[in-house]
Amino acid sequence: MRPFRITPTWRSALVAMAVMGSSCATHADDAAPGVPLPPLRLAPAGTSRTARAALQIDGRHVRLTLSLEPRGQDTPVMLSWQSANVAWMGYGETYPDRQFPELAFEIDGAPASMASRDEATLGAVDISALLATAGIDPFSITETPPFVAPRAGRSEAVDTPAVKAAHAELLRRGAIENAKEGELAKWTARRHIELALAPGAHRLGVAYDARPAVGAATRVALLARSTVRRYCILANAVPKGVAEGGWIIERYDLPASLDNAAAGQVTLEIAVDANAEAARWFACDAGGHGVAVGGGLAPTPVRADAQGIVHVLRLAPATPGQ
Amino acid sequence: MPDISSTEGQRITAEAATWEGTAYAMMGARSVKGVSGDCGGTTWLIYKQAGFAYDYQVAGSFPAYAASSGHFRKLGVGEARQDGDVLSWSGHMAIYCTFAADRSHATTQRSSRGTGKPWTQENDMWSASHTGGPAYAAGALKWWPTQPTAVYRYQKAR
Repeated sequence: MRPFRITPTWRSALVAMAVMGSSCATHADDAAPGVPLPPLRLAPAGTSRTARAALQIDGRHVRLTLSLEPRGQDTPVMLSWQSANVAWMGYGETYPDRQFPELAFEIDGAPASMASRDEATLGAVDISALLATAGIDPFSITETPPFVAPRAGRSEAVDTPAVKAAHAELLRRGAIENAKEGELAKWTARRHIELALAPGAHRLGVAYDARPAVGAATRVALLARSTVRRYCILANAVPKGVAEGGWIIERYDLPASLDNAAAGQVTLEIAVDANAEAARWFACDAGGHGVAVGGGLAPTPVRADAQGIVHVLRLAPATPGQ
Repeated sequence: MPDISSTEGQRITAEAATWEGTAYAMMGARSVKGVSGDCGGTTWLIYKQAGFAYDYQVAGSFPAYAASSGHFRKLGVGEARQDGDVLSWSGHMAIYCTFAADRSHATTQRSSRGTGKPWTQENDMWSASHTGGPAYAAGALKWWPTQPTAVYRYQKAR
């Protein structure tokens, strides 16, 4: 499908359609809030700038490549990332794994060596060391039920006195609850990652799976003023079938800079999804005009917001699993 | 208007059981048994098929509809639930079930993903799931992070 450009005429049409849509909306059910990738931070802050950023989307997989240039003094810097504090969220949660276990980095085309550290707390008390001694996976809480599970690579059979003592202490503190179904984890956890960048310019690659907000597609939702502004929705690219229901909207908020700073030039590329031919992607190009494509998108300059976030919306027929 | 009886409620839960295995998809009123559906669509169609029709609602609009349509009564605090009651959250809805009339679905054998150990889930509802989640199935309120914000019972026309 050929990209469209939004014009003032279309802007007027969108407003009119939004008003019309409010009286003839169809509804479908349910919605899942998205979980954007938390920001990547530099220490010291602001020591590099993002000259260019390239975002590639392939299904739910996102690859961000940042071309970093040192600002002023060319000294080593540390790049850090921290997940949200994750608690057990139950069967109803679409994205329980908010520690982004799949997150991976490359520096100048080679896999980056990174230090990854998990931190678990019970109330305000840090229980990371106890969990480590007991050989327990801090992210047991992302499963439902949150059964206490061993760390990857650790056998449950390794029960030394130190392991038993740590386990007993976790029980005593209430970090582990003995339920009839099994032992349940009651803590919260977060993941920290750090990697060193040598002095000089670098190409930093960041790969992860997006966790977009998902909701039923209605013309009202699509053509709401805030949505049109954020994603530069082009009404002529919205399939007529949306009005009949059975379509979903996925909203992607994709970081394209460090320290939530404004990004330099950002390009967006979308791989062809052969299994979702009817899907449409919407974003704002670098000039703030709408880009709407079906299938794939060749690298195209797009707009990032003041925090360096690129907003992309996917509209697709609901299929089993979505 | 009077409540439906518990026996009538079991017509709803019996119909819900026939939706077991229906894949999750955000299909709303276009949900189809055995194909795909979401919570609002499945609940609406199950009620309709059981003979207790109401206007299709998404989970978010259901409480207001229940309050104004005359088709439902909100249960009081501490009032006992019965088979077929609608369990309502702000973004989800499901059907309460004691499984007294359907012991084959009263429990589900599961195994822990982390440890592989088997465990038994004691079910008390029929529910669709969420994007990327499992198919329509008997579920356990215990493993949802919050209890329903309200429970509604269908009202018979006089």
